Amino acid sequence: MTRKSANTLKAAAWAAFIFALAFGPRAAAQELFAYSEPASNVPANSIGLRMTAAAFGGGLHGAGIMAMPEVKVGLHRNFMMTAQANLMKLDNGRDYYGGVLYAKYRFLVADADYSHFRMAAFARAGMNNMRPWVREVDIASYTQGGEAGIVATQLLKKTAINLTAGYARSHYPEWGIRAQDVLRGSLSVGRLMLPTTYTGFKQTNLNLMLEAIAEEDLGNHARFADLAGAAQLIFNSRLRVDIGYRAQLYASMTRMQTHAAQLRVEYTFLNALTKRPPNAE
Amino acid sequence: MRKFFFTFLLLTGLFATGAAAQITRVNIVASGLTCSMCSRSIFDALEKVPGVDKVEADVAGTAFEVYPKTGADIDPDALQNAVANAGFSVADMTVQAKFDNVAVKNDAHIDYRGRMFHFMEVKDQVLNGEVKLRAIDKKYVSRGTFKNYNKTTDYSCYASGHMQNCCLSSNDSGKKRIYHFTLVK
Repeated sequence: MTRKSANTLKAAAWAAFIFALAFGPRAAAQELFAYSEPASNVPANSIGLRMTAAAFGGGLHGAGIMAMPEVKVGLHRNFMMTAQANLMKLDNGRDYYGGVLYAKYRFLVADADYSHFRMAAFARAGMNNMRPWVREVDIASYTQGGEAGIVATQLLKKTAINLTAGYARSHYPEWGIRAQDVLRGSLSVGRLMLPTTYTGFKQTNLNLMLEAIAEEDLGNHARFADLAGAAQLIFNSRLRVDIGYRAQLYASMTRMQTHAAQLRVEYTFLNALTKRPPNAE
Repeated sequence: MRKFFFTFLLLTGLFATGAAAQITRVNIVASGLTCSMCSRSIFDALEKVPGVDKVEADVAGTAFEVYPKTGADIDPDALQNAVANAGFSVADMTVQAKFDNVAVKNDAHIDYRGRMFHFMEVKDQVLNGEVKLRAIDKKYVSRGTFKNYNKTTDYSCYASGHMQNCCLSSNDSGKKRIYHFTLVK
């Protein structure tokens, strides 16, 4: 791709994003985003199983693939935790593995008919055996360290908007590498496209999403900004499948990837932790 | 013998408390959602509530029709809790119940199968047959509706949802749950 066509593509992507922001809410999605977590939790007493696979390229160490199996547990209506394993294989033959723990506390709920506004606080801790080759900090994927932040979600009929802001710090004492502090954020818009009218649980739902992810290193002010698009299918109101593509718009820091395709499958076992009352049949 | 004894206990229990009124269905409108996955999580939670026989969902209207098992007791709070645990709120709950000669008065309690029902904004009357009640406790209505009902009563049990000194038998003040209802015209 020539530089000129790449720039045209970027401009078009931005235009689409701004268009979605401007007209999305009025049109009428959902808030099960492919590249960010909403302020809402999984239902209390439920267990969600999620498998994410990604193929990426363009980074400092070339192309690779990742597999991220994950378990989500709704411990309370306001509190959930997830445990995730990260397995990475680079085309250069190297393998890395790690794990991430994530906790989210929903502290604000304002529900109305076909709409809600919610806010939550989250914390994330990541471990990985990869040497920190790049300056990008991504605790959810491969950076060892911690992250804390706030997420706000507005649902309005069939559109959902999600805003995440977090502070993350890398932690590599075993490599003798100085901790890096970054601010990380995302802005996502999702919209329910199908069905136009709900008639039952068996209808397949289609959601489209546009998400922007950005980061700034607080030390040297290096940055990156990515734009991601995803299509999400929900079968039988239970099984969720996301197909997404993420591409770099801008970067002044070294990265593991500049573009990536992602496939995710998620199934929620509702009331998996509910003890059946003794009088129930 | 033991089985007979339990059946006897069950029957006497039903007659002692269940003769005056019986919930036949509950309609719940949930808020804070649009998606069918969200509706599904509420639906599944409602089905697990003790005493529930069947739930019908109106996904587009985010509404649920709950039918109790014959003769079974059903706790409105357990239904509300199921909706909240799924991650959402109750915007409206109407309870359809069969009454047999039950006198209700404004700002007065009746004993429904051991639960205290407090009626608000009603005319003194005797309830017979199928009657629709609307749950108006704080967690069943919007903030504005709650404020409006709270203005109409001097009873502090409305705001707390629990028996207060305002209530006739204040032995277990602050503990016993008082359910607040109005009649659906």
